[in-house]
Amino acid sequence: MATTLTHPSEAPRFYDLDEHAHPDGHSTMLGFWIYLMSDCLIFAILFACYAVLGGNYAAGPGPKDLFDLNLVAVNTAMLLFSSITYGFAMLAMQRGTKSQVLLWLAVTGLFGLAFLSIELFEFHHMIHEGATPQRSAFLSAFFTLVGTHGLHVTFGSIWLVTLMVQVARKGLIAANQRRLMCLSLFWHFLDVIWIGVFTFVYLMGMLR
Amino acid sequence: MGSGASVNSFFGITTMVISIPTGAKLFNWLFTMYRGRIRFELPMMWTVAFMLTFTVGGMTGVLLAVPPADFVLHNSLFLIAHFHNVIIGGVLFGLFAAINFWWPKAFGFKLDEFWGKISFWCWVVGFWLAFMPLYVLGLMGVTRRMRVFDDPSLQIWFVIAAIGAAIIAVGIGAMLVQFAVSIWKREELRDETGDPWGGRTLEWSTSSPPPDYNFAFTPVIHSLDAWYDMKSRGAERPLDGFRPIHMPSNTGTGVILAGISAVIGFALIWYIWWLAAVGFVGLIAVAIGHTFNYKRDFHIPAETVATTEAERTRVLAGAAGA
Amino acid sequence: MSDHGHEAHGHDHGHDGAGHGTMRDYVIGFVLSVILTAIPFWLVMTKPFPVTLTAGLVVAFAAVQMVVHMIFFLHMNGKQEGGWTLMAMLFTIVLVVIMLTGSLWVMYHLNTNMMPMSHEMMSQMP
Repeated sequence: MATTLTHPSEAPRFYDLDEHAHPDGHSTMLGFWIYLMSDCLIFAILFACYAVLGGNYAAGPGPKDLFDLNLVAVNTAMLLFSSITYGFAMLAMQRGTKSQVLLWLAVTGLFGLAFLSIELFEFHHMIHEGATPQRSAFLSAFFTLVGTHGLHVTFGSIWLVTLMVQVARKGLIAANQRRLMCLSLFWHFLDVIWIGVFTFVYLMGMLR
Repeated sequence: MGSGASVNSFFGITTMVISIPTGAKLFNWLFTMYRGRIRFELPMMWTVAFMLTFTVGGMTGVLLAVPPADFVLHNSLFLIAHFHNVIIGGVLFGLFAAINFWWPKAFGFKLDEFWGKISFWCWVVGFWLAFMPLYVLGLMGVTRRMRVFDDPSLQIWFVIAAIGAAIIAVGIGAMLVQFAVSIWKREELRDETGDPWGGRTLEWSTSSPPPDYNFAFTPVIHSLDAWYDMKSRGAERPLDGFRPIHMPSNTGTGVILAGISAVIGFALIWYIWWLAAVGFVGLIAVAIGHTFNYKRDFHIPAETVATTEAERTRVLAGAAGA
Repeated sequence: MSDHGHEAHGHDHGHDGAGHGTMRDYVIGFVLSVILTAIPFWLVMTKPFPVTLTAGLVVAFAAVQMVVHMIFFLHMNGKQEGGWTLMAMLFTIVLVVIMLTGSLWVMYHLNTNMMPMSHEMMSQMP
């Protein structure tokens, strides 16, 4: 072994003998952000699908026959309200008042549920009229894109309820604060995706 | 196919542009070897085979990038020869080089040289014999996925390719024998130093296989080839002053979630709705259950680190004495 | 080199995690979002302008609103996590643009060159 050839005078430090511990979860937020970016790519693919297939009605119903902009406007409002109420939950978390965090999370969850109910009502209505995903390429792309967003909101709501239980049980400990911040990013990110959905699917659909 | 001139030009040019960084990489590797003391052991042999084969595959790729040529060669055996040239030469041979190189780090003993060489020569000779005739056939207009091709003058090329395929099969067999023989004779092939190749990078400074914590103290890097630098400047392994090492806890949740996802995928493909529903609920339940586990880390006590490192010191002294 | 790396690391710990918003941020973001949502809906529902102009405006409002959300709700800035979140996002935007424009471009070509029948014939299909 070369370790016998020691020159102590010129030997630099080869090992960090005085290492400091890394705080728990200090890379979580960046990791979660990168997850969101990869999720963004899923939606980009679905938007590309919709852009390519969105005009292929196969002589079936088109956007003007199916979409009700009033409903979409209400839906958008639900998501926007849920965004600001989640913001209030985050502000309460910074102040360290657990009861207010729980209250605002509950309000956010209710807005999320309202959004999901309206979306399911819309889907049910469309399927009832025969506008099923199998009807045309336009409808396949529509249900896949909007449905994937809805599924994300569903998982976000499940996550939100789980977090409420955890905050109620353990309080605003560091781990829970980190989780609340991750869900905050997720929730606001879904809102950004929804901007794309209502603009390119609903509004542009009505202009076709 | 089906695209207009603009799309074809774009994809033709971008495909050709790929060859520039790839060519730069090949020159990197060649100049890394240039004037080095090259030892033709198994990892180096596979690496050289990789460079030669991959270069040919890349060059036929540039031929396919020319849109008029691609119109003719599309879906022909020329294309098949090209992408096997790239995948086998560029991925598989590189992978085999890596397996032969890092096997001793992962398991503590080297792979058998004799069977490794038999496998190497069968693979390389078999590959060239099997796929070069396909270039010829492709240029003659043979399309892919044909059960028979009714032109007796081309039969000889198919026969040569079949012989090549048989030699590759021997190469695959020899590699399996290589693994079996190596595990059988692992005591003879054992490496106590952790550095069987005279390596230059840090993984060779640990024992083989490395301890759970990899490094008792994080190495400080002063040059590109850190371990070579440490060896030539006489770095001393720290023998005391160990501290508890912060580690992430193990969890099976990822594997369990992946398993349930596979079940859901199967159920969805075959319309087994009840199974999909059960799997979906199970997926969410396991994921939620996991989030209630707040114990995500633990410490390896300093005494355990000290014992492990002392054992390593003893083994190293034995290896140096032998 | 290593000293510098250490410094940058220690710096990160100070500003750990995502940036925190203030009440002011959230309220400004919310008001802007409501305005930026309401105008395109109004444009499409009442159609005061020709279709192409409306479409352009709607897309422009969406782009602005996405930026508003990024800044006021997701608290994006160049300093967070040493600039890595911004870098990750720019990279994602590049990929998204390639994917969207590439798909549309190639599929447009296939549609014009490979479709067996014309659009008029398609629309008259039963």
